[in-house]
Amino acid sequence: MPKSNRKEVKIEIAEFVEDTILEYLSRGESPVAGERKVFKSLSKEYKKIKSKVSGSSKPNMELFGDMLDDFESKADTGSSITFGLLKDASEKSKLKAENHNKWTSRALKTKVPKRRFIPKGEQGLRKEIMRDIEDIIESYVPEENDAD
Amino acid sequence: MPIKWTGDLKRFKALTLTERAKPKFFKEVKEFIKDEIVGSIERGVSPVHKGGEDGSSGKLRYKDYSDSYKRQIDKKQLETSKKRRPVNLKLTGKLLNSLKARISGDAVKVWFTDAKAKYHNELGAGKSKIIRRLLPKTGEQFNAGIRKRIVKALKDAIRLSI
Repeated sequence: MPKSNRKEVKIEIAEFVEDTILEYLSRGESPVAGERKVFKSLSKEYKKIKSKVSGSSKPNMELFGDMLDDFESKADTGSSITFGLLKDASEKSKLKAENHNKWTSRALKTKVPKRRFIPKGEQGLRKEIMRDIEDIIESYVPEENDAD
Repeated sequence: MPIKWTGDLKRFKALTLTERAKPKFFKEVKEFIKDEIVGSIERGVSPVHKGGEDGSSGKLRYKDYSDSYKRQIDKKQLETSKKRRPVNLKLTGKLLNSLKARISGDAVKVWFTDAKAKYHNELGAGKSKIIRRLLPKTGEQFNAGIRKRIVKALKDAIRLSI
């Protein structure tokens, strides 16, 4: 791929990943490969509370919305993008995400059920998302005939 | 009478292919574009690239409602059972239902007929004049998810036209 396209494609993928993860979450689904696709439903008591506050009883990770407001995706240096609760996110949002994603032993000790939406370690995003990312990359690679 | 083509044959083929693919592409886009736009707004994400907050913040998600509007929601002072989240610009549904799409010449035109759209998209809504973008203006783009869907429709239309 020409160097001039690299930055552009990374920005495109970063935005696509952010939008897609938010879309999965709005449906109550995990975008992370190897995780149960549909999030475990909310407990009866929490459903009542959540429904009153946010209008939805789905496990869409949005009660007051502050955690997802802080979720973002950025084109990085090199050939990578970074997404998640990044440096501008509030400590509260980061803690909520840590607990939901169960990344740490501290999070594992909390009663919050695991609803992972950011991959851990070697985990990736679901294959359908990866396929779409490959399509985006492909669309930036010039066809042989383009040079004619 | 035979026609003699003296130009670049590859370019000629590509041009005729594009012309053949256009009607299929426009028809396909017209069919899904409204659902994509409304679906995006309903989950609190601007259909416009970086259009969540004033169109320049780089945020996809819409800016939170103002404190005074949230107080109205909490006190159930609005005409429907509007909730704080998601920030989906949906009170009665009239605005989102007013989205129209039409094939017009070499384009698919998309617009809202409800007057509130102009306030959200351009003028700013409420006392603090918050802009939450609904549709791209000239030179702007849809968000990456919608762009991806449009590119897929174009690829499908070209494949069907070969």
